[in-house]
Amino acid sequence: MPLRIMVVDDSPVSRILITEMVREAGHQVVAEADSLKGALEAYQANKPDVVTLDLALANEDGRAILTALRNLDRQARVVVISGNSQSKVIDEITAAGAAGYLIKPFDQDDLLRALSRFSTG
Amino acid sequence: MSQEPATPQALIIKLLERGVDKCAQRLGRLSYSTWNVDTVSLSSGASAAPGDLMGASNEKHFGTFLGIPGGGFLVIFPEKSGFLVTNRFTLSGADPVDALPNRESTVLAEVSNIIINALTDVLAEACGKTLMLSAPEPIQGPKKEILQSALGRFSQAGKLAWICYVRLKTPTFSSHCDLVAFLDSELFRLLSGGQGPAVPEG
Repeated sequence: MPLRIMVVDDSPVSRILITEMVREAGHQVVAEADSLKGALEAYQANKPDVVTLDLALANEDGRAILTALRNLDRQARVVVISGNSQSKVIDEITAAGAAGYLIKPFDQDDLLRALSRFSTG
Repeated sequence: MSQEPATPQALIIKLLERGVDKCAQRLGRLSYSTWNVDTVSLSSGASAAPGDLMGASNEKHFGTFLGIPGGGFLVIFPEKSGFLVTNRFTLSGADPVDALPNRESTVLAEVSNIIINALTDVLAEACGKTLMLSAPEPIQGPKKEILQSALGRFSQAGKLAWICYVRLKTPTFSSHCDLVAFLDSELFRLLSGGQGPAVPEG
């Protein structure tokens, strides 16, 4: 069953690469956002199966976006994608309700593995 | 024979070497190639002269600045190396990426963010703090001007204590890039007093 995915990242390069990787595997990117406000609006409008979220956006902290998404929908499934591999940060993100944490750089197999647990078919 | 205690500078160099090794690994993974650390040197911030560190070439370079509390980093690619790394990193999404304005600058900002995070992780572990990088800021121009621009952020505040210069090279496609780390005295003190275990790469 294809996943409906929302990509939150301020880097257009990351958004393009993530989108290409998941589309090649048959999933659908239903929304993209690069800010807290945009992420919340897009989430409510599209109700994606899973969100990929960058940790460090230009003007906002991805941790705040994770919290806001989880406050909006306790069932929101958010996979954080970041170059930051500090154990304290990963612990904090996990405690805040992230469903996964993928460290950059990653390839298509890594990304699909991180998303595969959310596929229902 | 008793062994001389390591100087703070020696401790910092060792820590940075560990961090830039991880940067080279990440750069290798994202560009499907092998990168090696060629040079690591540390100099006093007060005596830093961009021309001495970077030469006087007017060749175009792609630079990216990323900050942390008490410091910052520059990643600088020569034009040709930057072009080659961009192509390799975006292999899977080449067409949409080609349509981006400032393609190389935009892609190399993301590349720089990924590789400098590996160094920041080592520094964070050493000083027992969480270090979050600021958003990458692309700067284009001759290498000396890129460095001058970054130095300006610190000299205005009179805070810069140490500068570390690193060169990474790849034999895979004959390219190189320069990493420059800027440390203020407080961050230098924290880092030189807190050598910690290596951070496992995820």
